Amino acid sequence: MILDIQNLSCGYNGKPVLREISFSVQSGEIVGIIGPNGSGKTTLLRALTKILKPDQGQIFWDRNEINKMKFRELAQKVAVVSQNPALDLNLTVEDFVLFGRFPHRRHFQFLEGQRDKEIAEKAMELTGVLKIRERMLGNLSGGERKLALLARALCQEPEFLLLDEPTAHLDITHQVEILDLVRRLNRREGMGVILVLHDLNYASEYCDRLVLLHGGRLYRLGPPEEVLTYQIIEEVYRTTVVVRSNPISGRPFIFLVSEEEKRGKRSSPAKKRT
Amino acid sequence: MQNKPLTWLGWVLFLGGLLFAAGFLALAMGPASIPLVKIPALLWGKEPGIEASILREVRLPRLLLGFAVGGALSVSGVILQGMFRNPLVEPYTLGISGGAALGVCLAIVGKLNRWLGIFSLPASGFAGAVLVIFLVYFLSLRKGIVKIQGLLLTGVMISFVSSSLIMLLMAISRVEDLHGIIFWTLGSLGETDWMLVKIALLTSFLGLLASYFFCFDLNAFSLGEEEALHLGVNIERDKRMLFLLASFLTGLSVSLSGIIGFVGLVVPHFVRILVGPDHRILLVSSFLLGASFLILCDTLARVVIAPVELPVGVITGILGGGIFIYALARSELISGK
Repeated sequence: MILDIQNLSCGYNGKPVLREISFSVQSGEIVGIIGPNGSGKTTLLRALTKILKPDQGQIFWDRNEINKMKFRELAQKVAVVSQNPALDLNLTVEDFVLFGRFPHRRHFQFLEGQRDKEIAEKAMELTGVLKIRERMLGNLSGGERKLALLARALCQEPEFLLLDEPTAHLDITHQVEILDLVRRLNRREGMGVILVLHDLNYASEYCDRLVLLHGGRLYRLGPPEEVLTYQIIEEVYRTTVVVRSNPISGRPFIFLVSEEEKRGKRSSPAKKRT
Repeated sequence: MQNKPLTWLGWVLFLGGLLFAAGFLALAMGPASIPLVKIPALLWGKEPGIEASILREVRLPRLLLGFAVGGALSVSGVILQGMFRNPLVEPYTLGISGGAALGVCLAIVGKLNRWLGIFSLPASGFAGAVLVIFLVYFLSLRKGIVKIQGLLLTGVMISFVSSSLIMLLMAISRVEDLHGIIFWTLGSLGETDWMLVKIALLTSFLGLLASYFFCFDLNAFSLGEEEALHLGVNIERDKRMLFLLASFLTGLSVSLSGIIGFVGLVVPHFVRILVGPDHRILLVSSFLLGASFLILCDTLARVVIAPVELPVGVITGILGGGIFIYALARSELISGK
């Protein structure tokens, strides 16, 4: 499956947020969408799921124009893990995960079938929420809730997975757990993944290609090595940084430089910026 | 893991049994009490007699109207609370009852019954309800998207406007009309015309049936509109259909029995505590419990200070509110340990 975005412009109430965006994503890829606050990352995600109608341009999922697809059709192929949805907290994890079977429900099917339950079970097992399946969503920690959201998305058996800041508000254990899982799914099952990320280092480490948005336009598109250079980051984020490569993966790693360090006031031995 | 369909069947049987018990009690009790054991023979037998005609011509239509209205209001409450994701919304929040009441007031003041006979009040009430439904609907329809908060606000405002207009009418109307208006506003199941009772029964059954086409979508709504969209629910179409469905159920109930408050607010809540949030079981359970509740309240209204009859809306308010506060306090004690 291929996602193809052509000359997309869209926004709210006639005010454009995104302008003339074009790129495509193959199903075997993990693509990260990065950019400063307000650069249009979430807006792009909303356009991809038909919540927002394009003002101009077109979006194709597998050569199907998005406006010609029914919501149900889209949900059979594309699953979304939202950042912080206001869920009904009186649901058990299992009932919530079973919601993922919704787009695959046959007409006049009243109860979940055996197959639905098996798929839900598998999704819960993959995400590690099987042991808390009877607990209420309201009683889960932030990390557990995110895993439950991911399990529900997987229960949709999507060909494409869209995640809006999956690592926000989580400790590093959960951050790495979720991103590793996403990558495993991508490598093993060929699931296409689009991640909206704030943390540039995670984006660098886990994504095959990055889409850098700046002021609603596509600023750079390419592998992390090409996008995450200190010139580009300083230009877009207006922050002084140092970029080195991660000694283990060889991917770019971004170091911040504080104001104090820039002025050279702090006298620490590791001060030298080369 | 417990067996869901079996648990659900258990609830339906239990609530169905409760409904039957409430029904027989309603038939037996009244100014002239009829022994329970005699009821089946009197209902299905052909023998004439005072008791048989009380049953067949007074208590049975009243019972069936209570069944239909209680069920319809509760289903309407479940639908609205589900789609608004707001536990305080009830069938009357959207101004439908206000519109119906205004229609009825106009009919009473304008002496419409000279032309329409016994149909004048239900017909004008329904016309008022339909008018408000479309007003609310089109006022909050912007760019093809029903803004759910707008819908709510418009409804509440229309409620206020129509209740002010009713007060205006009451202020300038004569004493005998005033009594009619007040009596109607308090709600009563005294409508015993068989034709109207049959219409009410049919509509509430059809309403329950129609609501089941949306039971999964209502479940998805509980995750929020965007999440429901992500799951492939066509929320704009659903919101329209559900609003119209709930509105017509409410409009019909109000035009036949006046404003019987609290049923559509309390019953869905109570049933949610009992059977859980899944609309597949919530809808039918609410229908059954709402019907039983209204039948019981009406029986109480008839017998408490017999032969004088209390307005049933007063009983539903006091009893429903009381039971609900108690249940809420209990459930919080249990879950808050």
